[in-house]
Amino acid sequence: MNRFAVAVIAVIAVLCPLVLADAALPGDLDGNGVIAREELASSVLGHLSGGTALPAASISDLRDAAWIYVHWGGTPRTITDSSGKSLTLTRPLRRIIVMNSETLETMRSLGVGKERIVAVDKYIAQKPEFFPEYAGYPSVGSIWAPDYEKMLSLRPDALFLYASVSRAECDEIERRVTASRPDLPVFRIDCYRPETYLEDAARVAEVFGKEEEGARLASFYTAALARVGSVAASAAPPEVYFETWNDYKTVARGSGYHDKVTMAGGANIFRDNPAEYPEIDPESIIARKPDVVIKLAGSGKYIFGGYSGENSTRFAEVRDTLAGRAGWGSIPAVRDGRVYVLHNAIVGGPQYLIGVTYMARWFHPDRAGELDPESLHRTYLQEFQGLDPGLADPTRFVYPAR
Amino acid sequence: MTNCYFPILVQTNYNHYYLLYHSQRTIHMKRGHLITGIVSFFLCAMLVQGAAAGIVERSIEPAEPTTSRVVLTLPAETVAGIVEVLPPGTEVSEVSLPPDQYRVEGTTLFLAVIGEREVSYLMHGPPDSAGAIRGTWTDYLSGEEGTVGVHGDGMQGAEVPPAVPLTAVTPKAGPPLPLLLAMAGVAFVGAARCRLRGREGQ
Repeated sequence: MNRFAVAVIAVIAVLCPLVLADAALPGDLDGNGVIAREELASSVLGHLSGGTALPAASISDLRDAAWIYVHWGGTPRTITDSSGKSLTLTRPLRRIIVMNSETLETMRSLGVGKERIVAVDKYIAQKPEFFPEYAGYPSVGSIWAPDYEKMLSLRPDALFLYASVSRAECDEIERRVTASRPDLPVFRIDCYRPETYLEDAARVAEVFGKEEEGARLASFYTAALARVGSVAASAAPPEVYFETWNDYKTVARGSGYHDKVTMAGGANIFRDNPAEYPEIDPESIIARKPDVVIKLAGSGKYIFGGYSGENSTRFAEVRDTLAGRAGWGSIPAVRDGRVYVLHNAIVGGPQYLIGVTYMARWFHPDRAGELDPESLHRTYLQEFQGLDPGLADPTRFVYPAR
Repeated sequence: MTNCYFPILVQTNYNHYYLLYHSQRTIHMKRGHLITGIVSFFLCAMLVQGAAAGIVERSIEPAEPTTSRVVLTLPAETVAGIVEVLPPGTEVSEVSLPPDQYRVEGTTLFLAVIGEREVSYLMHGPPDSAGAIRGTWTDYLSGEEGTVGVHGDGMQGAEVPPAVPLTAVTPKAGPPLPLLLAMAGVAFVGAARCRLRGREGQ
């Protein structure tokens, strides 16, 4: 980092706390930590009368006080993030930076608009099909190459990072940013693990006073997963080989994908491997005779389909290549035509319920009629993401599509 | 040239301008026309913005020969401030809000609305003075503000749900400013095109 950059950071570090380190509750005239109705009324009347009879509050303080009165009951809000850290907010967040696309997607599900967001990470800005409103938006780099100068210059009032993904990198970002801005709340929230997703979403809802929207989102997930659970529990689980976008790399207990296979009513043939993402001997797949094979696409050398819909014809090609692997002709999954390709966009993040529903259909074909993942996908896009439901075209996300 | 759907102004010399409004289409105009166009643009924007105001409405019910009941209605629970400026010679009484939520200074009434959907007060004065009330409102949750509109013919009470305790609200938003400006811009371009056609027809 050159001297100029260091100087810029130093100036910002000195100035920002002066502007933003206001820990007092706006509109709390008696300083007791609560904005009472009488105090809010006094602030409004002071503002309207221009301070002739009552002290005039600034419009920004008054807006914040009104928001806190309505959404937080007039008191500061303490939120515990996914890492267990408690953060107390005395102002609504209006200038946040989000470096976690799953959290941003969840914010959108909750109706948190981009007017509260000043920057995103570069990968979010590069997904114009799914995040059209953030195409060309200010980017602060990635968690592997963050642009600290830009982050601080945007005067954020909060930063959102992963809690458990790339933990070391996110820890370092938090450490360096809070060294310059000790007052800056850094929320560590995952928003991708099925077992904690609804808790994470509830935390985000609480931050933004979107509890009603959070409850609606939770109902949607709970109902969809209950349908999957009913189908999954109806029969013995088939043996499943789940391969990531790296050939012969699978998943085991402790990984999110293993949990999703189990949730869909499948039995992961490598569940007991000591590594969460083990590379396995090709012969061991044949030996374990999986009933169903699932190949994950969307990254590595398997970038096609998804929301961009690019090169979706490669789904069939990938499936044929898998079925043609040496010795695989004897695997029940190949013999019975139960080899599937699944795009990570609908199984890796908050949309896991859609991917899990597709898998449950594949695992339990006799009850497939009870599950409609395409309709679920369309509803999610339209009602929670505000996107064109036509993007849920199954030919972009799974193969065979029907 | 890339497609451009917003007007772009290009000055070619002191007195001549080109308005580029779509792809390679242009409108040539003199400075006087340009000034007229710009003034029209802002007038349109102001008119459209004015039409969007009026989320808070006032209705007036005659109570006695020299007393009127003024009712202000809000479309949703919110935190708002309302200033009512009454005509000279009038007085206010029986404001429906708690005493610490309003203030009277001469003929100006300041109201702090915290969740109420309806606020009323009595105005005492000449019978024809009620129509001269002027009011403005500010919604502190949405950031919107405007003038108080008059409900119906100004003599009927508005039918609104009773006031309820304030909970989370979703204030009704007016048309966003970019949309209003875009509409005004379309009007500006349309006017410029009409002028161009008129010139071509000469």
